[in-house]
Amino acid sequence: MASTRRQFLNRVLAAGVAAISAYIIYPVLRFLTPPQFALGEQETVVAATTDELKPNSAKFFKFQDKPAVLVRLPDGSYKALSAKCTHLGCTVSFESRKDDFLCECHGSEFDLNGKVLRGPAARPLPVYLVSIRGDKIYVSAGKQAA
Amino acid sequence: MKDFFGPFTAFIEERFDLTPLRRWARHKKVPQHKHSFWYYFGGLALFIISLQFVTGILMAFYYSPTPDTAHESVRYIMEKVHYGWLIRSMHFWGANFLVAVVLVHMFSTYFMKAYRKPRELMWLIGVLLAGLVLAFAFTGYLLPWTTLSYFATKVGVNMPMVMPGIGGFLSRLLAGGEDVGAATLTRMFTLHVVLLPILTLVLVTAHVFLSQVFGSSVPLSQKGYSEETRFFPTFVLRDSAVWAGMLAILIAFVTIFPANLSSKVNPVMPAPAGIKPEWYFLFLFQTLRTFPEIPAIAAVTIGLIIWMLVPFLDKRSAKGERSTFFTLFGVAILVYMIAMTMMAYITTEVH
Repeated sequence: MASTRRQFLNRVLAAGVAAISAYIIYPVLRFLTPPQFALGEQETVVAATTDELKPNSAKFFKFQDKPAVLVRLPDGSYKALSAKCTHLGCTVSFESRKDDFLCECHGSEFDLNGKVLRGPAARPLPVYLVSIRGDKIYVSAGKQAA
Repeated sequence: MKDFFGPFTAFIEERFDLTPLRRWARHKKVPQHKHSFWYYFGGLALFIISLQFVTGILMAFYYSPTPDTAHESVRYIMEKVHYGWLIRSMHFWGANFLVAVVLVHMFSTYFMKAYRKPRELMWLIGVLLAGLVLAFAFTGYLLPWTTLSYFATKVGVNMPMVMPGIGGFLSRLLAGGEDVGAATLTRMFTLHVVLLPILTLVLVTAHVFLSQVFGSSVPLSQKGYSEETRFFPTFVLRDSAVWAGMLAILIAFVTIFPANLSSKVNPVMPAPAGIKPEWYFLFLFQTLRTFPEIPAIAAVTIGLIIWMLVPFLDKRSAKGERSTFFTLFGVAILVYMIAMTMMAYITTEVH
């Protein structure tokens, strides 16, 4: 049976209410979703100065509210990675003797590119971008080519 | 809509007797006459207050009330949080619209003499609510911790100083110390998000309850010419349309003129030239610039007390007679506020 004018208007009204509700609820939910960077976090930080690290040594620093590590390789270049183990979140240590990272909590090991050498961690350590300007070494979010 | 809400209504009705509510909705009427347009402003104020509560609660998820982090957290909301610019701009423009709507509601109520017996208490609560809206505006202004907000608050908290006796105490009470600083920010934040909302909820509930008890007042000039319209669904749907229109206007303002964030205050630096309050405080600002402080504040205080007590002073309206004196009193106050605001705009560059 064809709908009456009243039924049609009721449906239009209900659709309007639903549309307005969605148009209010969507930005509110997005607002409540924490952004990538928490308050006070920067996309780029100065991790060290060029005269701070000897080759084959590392410096730990806070980046985006998480521990990160800057390593000076034997050839003088730098690598920056997240120092938070991807297994259960312990902070890894730098093993200069083996040129890798070890998580003392459960024994996971990662190479200098963050790749998992030994479990239980399954995912690699995130790698950050390193740039040198003047005597400062900057670390920023984003993947560095391995 | 019956089909749409049918299952929900059935669920409620199986558990609660909705007959009294249905009877109330069926019988409640709203007067319809050539001035009934003004009735919508009360509901509109309620709608904007609700929006302010929602956007304010949302911002409280990210705002941090310390001098080191306040400005940074507002910038973070504006620049990093998804739709943060939208929520903050809604709160900013909502505050401006709320003050305007509350002023229109108060003056239209006044000129229609809707304060007359038996609605004296509604008027008193309404004037207190208007004061709360201005208090919200004042306390919220400091929270972004900008140069403008800092010095505007400084002037505001120092204003009571001219009062003999308790002036110094009141000023220190507001500032939380000898000068505006971290303690002031904490106090303004607490007032803005805890005390004022509680008071507002209580007074709005009382105001709305009394409006249901007494119904809408019919102006004396419309007695005998007024018809009645059903509150539900006619008036409710019209109210909803007005609210949707208001939301559309607000969104347009927010999108075209999003709220900005001026520079963070450096409290040791001198106040910038040409510093002014927001438009709704300009008449007070200009009054203090034009007249000596003590007589100016005394006159404003006395005017406010008379304004609150009008339902008890206006005996003629209470008897259903025209009261030209109180109409002229209202006109004088309105003209004074507009003239002083315009004078402040003309004589200085307004921020």
